[in-house]
Amino acid sequence: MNTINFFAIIKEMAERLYLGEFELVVMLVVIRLGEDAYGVPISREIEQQTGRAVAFGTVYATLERLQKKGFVSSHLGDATPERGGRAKRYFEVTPTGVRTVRETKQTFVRLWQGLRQLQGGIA
Amino acid sequence: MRTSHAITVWMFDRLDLDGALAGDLLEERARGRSAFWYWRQVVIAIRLVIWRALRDHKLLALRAIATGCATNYALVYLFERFMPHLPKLGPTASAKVWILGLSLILLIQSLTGWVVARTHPAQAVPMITAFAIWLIMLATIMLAKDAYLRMLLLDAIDQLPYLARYFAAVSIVLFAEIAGVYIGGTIGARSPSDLRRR
Repeated sequence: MNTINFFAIIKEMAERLYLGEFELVVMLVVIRLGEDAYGVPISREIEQQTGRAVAFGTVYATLERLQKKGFVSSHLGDATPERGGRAKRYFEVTPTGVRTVRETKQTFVRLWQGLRQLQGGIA
Repeated sequence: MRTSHAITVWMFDRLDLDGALAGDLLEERARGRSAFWYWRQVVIAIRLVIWRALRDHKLLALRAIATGCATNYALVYLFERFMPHLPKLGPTASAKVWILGLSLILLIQSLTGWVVARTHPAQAVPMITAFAIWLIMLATIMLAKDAYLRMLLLDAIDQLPYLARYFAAVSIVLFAEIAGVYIGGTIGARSPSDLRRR
């Protein structure tokens, strides 16, 4: 892979995708959980899949950012007594969000290809 | 648990944080998470929202600091004009002087915090925080310039008890100032959701 091509991909990422690492993790978890995607299971799934403890506030801040970008939408469920009368906020990835996740994956795959250090356990 | 959750909801409301987050935290607490975990999550959520507001509204933060300084200056001027013989706080001052002095500091800073909150209704708590950070910075600068502290530090062999007393006095005054700003500020702050409804 030549250097010019590499920088072109990075530039394309910055211009079109706007997905940080944690944002991508959150998007994938929301897709994985489907209809059950609200704060508690999202945070638990991230912990399980990445092995990293995450603060609920960080997850909500990320989801809010993704919502502003139009990658995620949300709606409130019913309020329940065990939650102190607070409703659950359910999240789902929008078609734009799904497309962006796909494009991010393709970009990473292209970046991966041709890197000898990352092939066949050389590194 | 109900009381602490009510405090969380009240704080989240003042900071325009999603009520669903408060519900999520309570749900996790009911499933066996510790009180430490709960309060850590609350602190992280509040810290994030304040930091984000300060990052997104830098000019507003500068205005809040200027408003706070002007209010502070005006109040101190008024107190010194009408009560010219106010005792000075210091490591050697009596308990009576300390109680009076700290009460005055609390009163002045509460009024200042209230004014800052009322003049920045949409971002009241982050703007109070901006002013509180400014007060801490100011105290640090003043400490660095203080000739008495320099003398104590230069002659540190015999002065350790004085140094400890000096830092204790400064910490108590600074704590009273910050507490005052937050007390007045949170009283003056309106819920952003209430403001939107109007």
